Amino acid sequence: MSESNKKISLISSEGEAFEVSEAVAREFEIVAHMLEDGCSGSSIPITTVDSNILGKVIEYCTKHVEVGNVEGNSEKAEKDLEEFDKRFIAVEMNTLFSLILAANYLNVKGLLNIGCQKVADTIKDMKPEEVRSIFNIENDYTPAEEEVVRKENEWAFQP
Amino acid sequence: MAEPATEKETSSVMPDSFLLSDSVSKLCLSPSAKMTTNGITWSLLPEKPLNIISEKLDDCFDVVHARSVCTSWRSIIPFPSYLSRQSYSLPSLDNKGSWTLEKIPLFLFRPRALAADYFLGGIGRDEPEEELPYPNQCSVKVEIPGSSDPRLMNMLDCQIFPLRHQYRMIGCNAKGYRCVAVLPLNKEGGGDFVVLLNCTSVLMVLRSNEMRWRRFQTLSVHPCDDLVTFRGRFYALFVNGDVFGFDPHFLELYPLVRFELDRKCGWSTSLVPSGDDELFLVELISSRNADVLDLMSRLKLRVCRLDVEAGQWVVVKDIGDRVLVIGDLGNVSFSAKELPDGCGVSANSILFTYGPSNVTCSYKYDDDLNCWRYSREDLVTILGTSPVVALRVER
Repeated sequence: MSESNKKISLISSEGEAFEVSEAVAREFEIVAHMLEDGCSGSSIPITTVDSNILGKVIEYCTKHVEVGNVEGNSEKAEKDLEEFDKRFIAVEMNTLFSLILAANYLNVKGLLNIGCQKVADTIKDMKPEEVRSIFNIENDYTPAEEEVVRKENEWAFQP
Repeated sequence: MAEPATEKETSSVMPDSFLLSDSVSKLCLSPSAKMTTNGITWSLLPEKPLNIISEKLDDCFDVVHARSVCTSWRSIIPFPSYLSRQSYSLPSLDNKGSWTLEKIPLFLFRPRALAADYFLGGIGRDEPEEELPYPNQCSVKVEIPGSSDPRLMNMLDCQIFPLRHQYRMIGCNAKGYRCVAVLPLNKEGGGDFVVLLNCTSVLMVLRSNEMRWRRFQTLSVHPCDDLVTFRGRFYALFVNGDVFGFDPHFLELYPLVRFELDRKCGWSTSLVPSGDDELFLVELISSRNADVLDLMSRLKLRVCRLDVEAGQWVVVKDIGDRVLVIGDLGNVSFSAKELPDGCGVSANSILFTYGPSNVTCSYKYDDDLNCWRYSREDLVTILGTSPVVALRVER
């Protein structure tokens, strides 16, 4: 971790700078690739993510880097991290959506994973109408398309 | 709560409508952001997160429901492969006609409202004549011959256990035909496959790249009782108790497993694969104790698991959380871990859905007698066996 003292500025869509260690910045795979490609600048613009969401993603990555650096006592650390993830992702739907988009764009795999898990847990055992209402999605099928969709719903025990 | 702020900055990655909708955020700092009342547009979730979400949905009918939400989700989320009932047209044995090989997903459904009813079998798409009461939700029709009208179960009201795939040869009129087993020729699956047809006295084999039936090398002079696949191999059980395991290439055939069973007082033997975890051999034994008049008291089981590395069977008294269901429709295994208390089916038990009577019980291991015996605890009434195995447990 010789380079961990190096600081990098991540600039949000509003132009706000977030100073983080290189280890944390590298949790953003998109940043890690830029650094590997010889991008030596100390400030990296993240133009599609606003300050609020960027702050949250940095909080997530910082925690995961910290825990990853601690040696030994791994079982407890893992449990703590699980708890942290659970609390971290317990956000309202709009924030969840922004976090998933940011994690997808910045390629933060762990965060993308827990965000998608949260969505899967939410829509499990739900009617399509309920999913639409919770996620504010419009039913955009034409009547003919809807007929095709319905055919996928009708099953029977067959010999 | 704040989202990407200005159109100029977000347009490089985000779709336009995302941009319009996300700027609703209360904490949005940019003065140029347009305020709308649309809210976030989840229908524009990108492909990668949507695919991860669908992979995380354990229940394939939840995936079908997710596909029904909107056109964009439908175009990204694939139809669950477990449910796609593939079929292949194969020549008949005499090469004069054709049969259809179908890959059928087996399921167990337990309506949550009725703690003690179970429906097990292969399912396929239905084409109902009239409109269903809840057309936007997955349902399965249950028809029990001899009983009243078919009932429609809403899958959201059911506990669902996907069991395994079963192959059936539709239209097969071969003499002595009992079952069919299929394996891909390469381990990754896809491409060419091998079909093994059990016609009791003879096994026939067909490779999809040849489309021609040949007689399979004689393994045994005895009739073949059962044929299953497990971890990329075929396992054939013969009525004398021999079991042979072999790979789909039939490269120099060695009997990988040969286990002499005590057939002197045997009744019947079954192979039950439990996913790719275990292959069980369940032997129903009728003792000759003449003092015991009651048939069921004389019955016990010997249960073995396959030790693949050692190539031999190991007698077991514990099959974990599993419930094995053995019957004409096919032998299956499912985990009782998810079942609620008091639903009449418990882990580490084995149920036969064929027998002298339509009322039966599970077999459980009795530590005092050191054997698997008929438990007499929860009476199971078999309401039907085809096309669905319908069970009602009375406690």
